[in-house]
Amino acid sequence: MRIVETKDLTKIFTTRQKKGNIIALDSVSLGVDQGEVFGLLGPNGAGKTTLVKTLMGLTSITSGDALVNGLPPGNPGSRQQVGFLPENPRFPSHLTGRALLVFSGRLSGVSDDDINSRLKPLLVLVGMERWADTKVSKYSKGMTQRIGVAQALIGDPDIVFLDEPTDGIDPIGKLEIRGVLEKIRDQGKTVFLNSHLLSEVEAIADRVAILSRGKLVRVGTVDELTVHENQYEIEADIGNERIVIPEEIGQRVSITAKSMTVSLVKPENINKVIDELRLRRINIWSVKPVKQSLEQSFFEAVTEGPEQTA
Amino acid sequence: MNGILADTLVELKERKIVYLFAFATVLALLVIFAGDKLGDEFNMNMGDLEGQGVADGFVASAMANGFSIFMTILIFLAAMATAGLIPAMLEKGRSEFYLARPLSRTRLLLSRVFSIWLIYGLLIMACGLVALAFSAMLLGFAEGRIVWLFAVYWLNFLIWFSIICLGGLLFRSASGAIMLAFMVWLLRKVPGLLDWANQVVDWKSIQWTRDIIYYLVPDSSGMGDVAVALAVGQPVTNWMPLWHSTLVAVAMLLVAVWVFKRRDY
Repeated sequence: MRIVETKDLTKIFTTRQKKGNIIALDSVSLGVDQGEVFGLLGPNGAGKTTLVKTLMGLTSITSGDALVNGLPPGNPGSRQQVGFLPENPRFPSHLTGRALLVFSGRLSGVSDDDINSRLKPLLVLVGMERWADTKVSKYSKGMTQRIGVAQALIGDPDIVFLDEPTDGIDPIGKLEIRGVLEKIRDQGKTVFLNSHLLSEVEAIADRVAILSRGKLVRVGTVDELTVHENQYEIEADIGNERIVIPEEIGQRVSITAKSMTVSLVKPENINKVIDELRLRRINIWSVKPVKQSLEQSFFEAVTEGPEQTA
Repeated sequence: MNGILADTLVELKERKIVYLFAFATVLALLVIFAGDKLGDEFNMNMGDLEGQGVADGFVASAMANGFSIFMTILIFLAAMATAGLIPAMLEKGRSEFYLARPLSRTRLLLSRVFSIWLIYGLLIMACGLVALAFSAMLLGFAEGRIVWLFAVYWLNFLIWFSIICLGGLLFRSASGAIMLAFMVWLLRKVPGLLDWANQVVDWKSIQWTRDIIYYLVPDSSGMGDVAVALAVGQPVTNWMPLWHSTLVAVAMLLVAVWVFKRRDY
């Protein structure tokens, strides 16, 4: 079941500057299934935060459609059972961590009994029980992010939107936040993780979307995104055989006595390469698609993209 | 109010604004104390007028006017103290905390506005009641009708806070909100100037402009007259300042809601 769905979602910010209007989101169509961890990647200024803000009803939609919990984001009901940690949160400084969670729960319409029963487990989950009665204004960045995750979860939401949860945090803090995210994932909640940190998304996300200059350029599982299109590595007893691949089939990228990497014109051509090897009575041990790192895939994706002005 | 009322109360406590109001109340008590001493001198010099209607009326009127000034000062303090509360809600990173909830923006803003009005209004009332209690003890002035004066000024605070709220939303800063309130206060002086101008040159356009400004701008001074009349038990000759000022406040709040709803955050 789709818990978030957008179709041709477009957001244009009008400016009075000569450079024209800014297309923050350009016909973005995506879906997030219940229970999955969905990672949204993109460089700074790609439109990731704008996308999350439109889904949370914070920013209006210029054209296209979006549904959260089956309702348009402008409808307050769409934010029922939704948790949100904004980018660089600034919580009311007069509150302690505990009071922040109580206030957050009440704002989300949670009963005081439910809030009280969830407080302690949440503080334990994010590792903030020791500082629960300290004012949030005294918190470090990492502590603020952790209490931010807790306030997003106080309503026991079905889906949690986390916008750059580890931004500006030191490596230890990042690791701690990642641990919290893994625990949320293990609770079966849907997580919409917005980040520009590839390792973070790669480690935790079931599916990943890459946004570049407001356009969705790739969507898929990490495996799907990291597969190098039409490249295969064949593990075989090639020895000193001289293998020539015709141009209409593809080309040989590399060859050793034990393996060969080929780049094919189309995927089906792998059968012709295998036939050729078998004709020469070469033993084939495995054939697998060549994978690139998510970093390489991301770099390829974001180097494409339209102009930002209209 | 989804915890907004309780949060506003905690915020008030944490901001230590209460001390400012307490200070103003202590000053008022000192004035009352000085008034008591002056009253003794007055009685010694002019003879004891106690029991006579003239003296009672004089004291009641002086007290009502004194409380009117005291309430005006408290409203000014409250306006200054609350000017930053709405803009603070709109700060980047903070607005998301409030807006990403299953609450309509109208409900969210009005809950915040009425929480502030209620809590700061109660603070003003509390200061007034303390001053009234001291007046009763020192001067023997225990006029229950003075509560009407407090009620009118509580409404007056809502009127000025509606302007501050709109200013805060438009300019997203406390200084912007205060500036707007100050501009509105200055605009209140314009009908008087136009009345004077109308005596010099009898143009209808001046009269129209005067009337438009009169009805578009809250009339705090007129409301003060209503409040004093109610407090001393005299008939109110002109209710219009109270009605049109309240309508202006409602209109300001509606505009504020409209601005709040259509903005991107």
